[in-house]
This record gives sequence, C-alpha cells and structure tokens, in this order.
Amino acid sequence: MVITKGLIKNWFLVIVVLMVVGCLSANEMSAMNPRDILAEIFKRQGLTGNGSFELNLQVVSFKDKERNDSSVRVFLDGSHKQLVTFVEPERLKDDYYLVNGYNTWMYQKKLKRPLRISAQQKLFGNAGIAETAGIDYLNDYDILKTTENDGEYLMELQAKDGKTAYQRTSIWVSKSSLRISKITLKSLNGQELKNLIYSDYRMVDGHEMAVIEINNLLQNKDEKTIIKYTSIKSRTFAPEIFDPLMMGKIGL
Amino acid sequence: MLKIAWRNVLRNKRRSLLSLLIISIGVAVLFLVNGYIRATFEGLKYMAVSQYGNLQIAAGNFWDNDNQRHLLSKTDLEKVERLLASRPEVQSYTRVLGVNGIIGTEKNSTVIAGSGIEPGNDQGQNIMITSGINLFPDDIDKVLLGKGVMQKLGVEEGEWVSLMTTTLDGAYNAGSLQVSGSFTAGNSEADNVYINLPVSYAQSLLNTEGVDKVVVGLEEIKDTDSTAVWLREQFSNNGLDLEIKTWFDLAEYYKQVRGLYEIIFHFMAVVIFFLVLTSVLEIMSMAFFERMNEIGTIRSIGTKRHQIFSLLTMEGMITGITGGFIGLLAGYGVGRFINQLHLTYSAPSLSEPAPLSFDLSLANGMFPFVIVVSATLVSAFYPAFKASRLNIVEILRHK
Repeated sequence: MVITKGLIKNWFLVIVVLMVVGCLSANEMSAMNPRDILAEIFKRQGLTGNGSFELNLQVVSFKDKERNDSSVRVFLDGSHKQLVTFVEPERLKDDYYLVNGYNTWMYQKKLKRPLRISAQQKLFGNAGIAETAGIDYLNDYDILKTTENDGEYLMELQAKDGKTAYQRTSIWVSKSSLRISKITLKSLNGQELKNLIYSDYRMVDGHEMAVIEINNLLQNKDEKTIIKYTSIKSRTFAPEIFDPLMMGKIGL
Repeated sequence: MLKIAWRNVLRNKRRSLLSLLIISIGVAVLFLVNGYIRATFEGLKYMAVSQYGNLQIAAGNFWDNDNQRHLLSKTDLEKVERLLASRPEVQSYTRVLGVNGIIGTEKNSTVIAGSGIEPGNDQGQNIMITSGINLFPDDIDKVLLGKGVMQKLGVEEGEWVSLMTTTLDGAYNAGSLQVSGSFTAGNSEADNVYINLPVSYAQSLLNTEGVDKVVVGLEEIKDTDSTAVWLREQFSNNGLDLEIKTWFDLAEYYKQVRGLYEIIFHFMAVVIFFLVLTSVLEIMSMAFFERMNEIGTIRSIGTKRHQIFSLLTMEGMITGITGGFIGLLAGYGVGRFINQLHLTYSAPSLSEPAPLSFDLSLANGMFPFVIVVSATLVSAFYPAFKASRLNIVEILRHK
C-alpha cells in the first residue's frame, strides 16, 4: 500500500475528527470547582457514561487556498474506542481508522491486513492520527491550575499517563454559558501545537455541540480544519467492530 | 647453467622483448589495480571508523531490529564510562541518542533523523561542515543541519527552527533550536535527512536520561578487537547486559565494497594469468621449436634430458622474473605519477569527489609478481618438457 498524500490527509482528518469527539459544551452553573465544571461539560454533551454512539460530521479542510470537503462517520464506544469511516467523498469510502486505548490502526478494503500505526509513525502522518481520539479531559488529565479573566475560566491540564499524545492542554470556558471557547493542545514541554476554537453552539439530536475550527500552531500553519456535527445517534455495537482484524468486514 | 640460460634469453632479443613486454604489462596492471583497491580499502576503513567509532556499546538487544527502543540506562552508562576511562587504549568516547521527527518553520518542514551528540566530541561523526560552525560543548539549543535539510527548509545560520518528535511513550514533544550551520556526511541521501543536536536536548525531547549507545574511539585501529574482548569480560564480571559491536561489525558498506573489489581483483588476476600463460607459451614454443637443432646437438654431446628441461625452464624463469621486476617498476612509476596529479572522481553514494590514489607498497606488488611469474614458469614447462623428451636422431634430422 502506497502512503499517498491523500492517505496522509485522511489521517489528519481523522485526528481532527476524533479530537473533537471528546469535547463538550456545558450548562449554566453556579460556582463549581474546576473538576466539576469539566464533568458538567462532558455531561451536557451527553457522550460520556456508558453509552455508545454513531456520530456524523462534516469536515472541511483548508490548505493554502485548497479546500477539501468530506463526511465522516465515527462509531464511539466510551472514550477510548473509536472507529472512523468516510461517507464522502467516494475515494475515501474504503478507508477505516480504529483507535483503541493508545493503539491505532488503519485499513483499506484492498488490504489483506490492517496496519498498526506506531507512536513514531503518528508523527509522520502529517500531525499524526487519532491520538487525539478520546481526549478525555476529565479522566485522562489532572487540573493543575484554574484562573479567571475576562469572563472566562482558564484551566491548565496535565496528562496523567506519559503515553497520552498531548501531555498538556489549556481550556478556556466561558463563565456565563460554561461553554468551551477554546482548547490549546501542547507538547510535553509546553510547546503549543494546536488550537481548537469552539463556536456556533447548537443542538444536534439532543446534544449541544459546537462548530470546531482547528489550527496548527507549530508546523503546517497554513492548514485549517472545520468540523460540524450533523447527527448523533445512540447505538449498540458488537465488540467485534473495534477489533482490528474485523475492520472493513462488518457492515455498519 | 644460469649463465647459459641468460645468454640464450639475450640471444633472441625480439622474442625475449616481446615476452618481457607481456609479462611486465601484466604485472604492472595487476600492481596498479591491487594498489588502487588497497588504497580504497584503507580509505573506506578510516571512513567507517570515523562514522562508527572503533566500537559501539549499547544495551543488550539494541541491534535486534525488533521495533523496540533499548536504551542504556543512566546507571549502566556511568559504569561503562568508568571502565572506558580506565583503559589507556581509549582515546575518547561519546554518548549518542537518536531522534526522529519533523523539523521546520511556518513555511516548510521535513522529516529528519537526528543524532543527539556531545558537542565538541567528534567521535562517530564523519561529517564535514559546509556552512556556519559546528556545535560547541556549551551549546544547549543549537542544531547542525544536513546541507540537504537546510536547503529544503530555506533557512540560514542563526535562524530558529521547530523540531517535533514523540517521546519514548508516544507523547508529542517539540522544541525550538537555533541553526548553527550545515554539514555533509559524504552521502547526498544522508544530507537530506540528518541533523545533529546536543544529546541533553535530545534527552529532554524524548523525556529520558538514557542514550542509545556510547561510541568509543581508540588510539589505534589495531586495538579494536582486543579492547572489545576486554570490555566484554568487564561487562560480564560487572553483571552488565550490554552489547559491543566493532566498526567492522557495523560497516556493511565497507564489507560489501571489499567483497566486490576482491572478486573483481581475483577475476582480473585469473584473466591476466591465462593471458600471460598463453602468450608466453606461444612465444616460448616457437622459440624452442626454432632451436631444435641446438637442443639436438647438445643432447648428442651428452646433455641429459633433465638438464635440457632445467635449462629451458630457467630461461622461462629468467624472462618471468626480469619481466616481473620491470612490471613492478613500471607500475610504481605510473602509480606515483598519477598520485602526484591528485585526481578525483565521483564514487557511488558519495556527495564529495573521492581521491584517485594507489597504495604502491611492495607488499601490494608481490601477489601480481608471483601470479605473472608463475604463469611464465608454467608456460615454459610444456615446451621444455616436450623438448627434453624428443629423440636426438629425430631432432637432428629436423632441419
């Protein structure tokens, strides 16, 4: 299988898509401690807990003046299992990406076997693949510090496990609406890597979701991705769906 | 008999000169080829030692190619360095930690394979600075780029670049480095990918105190094997699960080139052997044929068959040895002349021209000398044998 430019672009789309799956909106709250705020944010999005969901997203990626549109479907089981497939365009329909814990696989229907992506290879996939999937800010991170300014809470988070892709994050939450306005993903030494800008919150099948714009801060700064949720359905999945050897073999 | 043989050789000047020409050319050509090959081997050997050091010490399984990262721990590293410091043959040693990632600016980025090294320690660095300056011991966040990397990024000395990698656990990490200069590793493919940075910075990026290996330089290349043996003993005595590889173990390119050149040289030696054999055989056969009456005459006055055989063989030997010496001198002269010209040529996989030189030591001439003289001797055996077996009456009747 040739690692084409298109394939690398797919990875980027997947990362981006899976990044936003873990991010939530929040209800109006009275003064709470930061952990409670985060818990409430997750609860308001309604994707946490014991549920599993099928999410449909529109993804628009920009590089210089070039624009690429795609429709992505994510099968989510808890916060650490995601299967990403493409609905549109036609050329991506046979591509699958699976994240289970810290492991990532990719698959195309013409392959006899899926391909496991190592930690190092994630880097070369043009910003990596799906390590951002299941960013569980509540359970995977400790809140180091919370400050308030200009009507916002700013929370500084540190990953609990050294294997977490983005070791540090900053989350801005509006005080009035308790909605996330921005997240900055950082490296181990604090270097800012990506900005996720949240805007245009609306209800999607009973879940309050934002339109998310993702910008690179370190490399490939001319690239931008915008994600919009179009539908969210509660579904039950057989465990085989998240088995790498079953990728592409089970009708979804 | 030697005197007679000499006189016989000198008697037929044209035939003797022709034989001498063939023999001397054969020896000269083989001498030059052998000299070139040996000079190339020496060059490659020093290149390999410059690149790999005399020895490398790493954790057990480091070279297993099992897709795992096996680092030397800080504790083991300290023990190794104490042992190395106690050995007089050791000239220097350095820690090395590999870093793979993406380096770039907001305009361009490229994939790199970096080495975290100890600035100021040249061990295991076979590079030539092409612009700017090398890393200094006090440098903390400076980087030396392969010249191809520098060109791709379009940066200059003093500019800052970002390096992104993953830690050993798989987390992203990134840092900024100031460009100190550029280098060539003598290989254009390597120049497009390699960078050097301080090992302490590499350790911070990878979030580790370990290193991949220690590269050791010795005072003399010939001490490599004995030092390796001693170190293995010490590691065993100290319960260290470490592996050692010498430059020879690591220098695949050297071994491949050496193997190839040896085959080519031996093939050439065989070809020249048979060329000389058949040419001189033809010449000597003609010469002995024309001397039938002479041989018959000396046989009739009492010379024995074995004396005829010895005489004719000795003539062959004289021709061979004389031609051999002339060939050595000619080869030496031509080789020396070419060496003085300081010619260069483009060798495969090298980004800089390689010098064309010949190792003209006598040892390199011995094998060609022996080969060609042997060919001459063998070519003399058959006609000498035939001539010594001929019946006197038949010889004398031949006119």
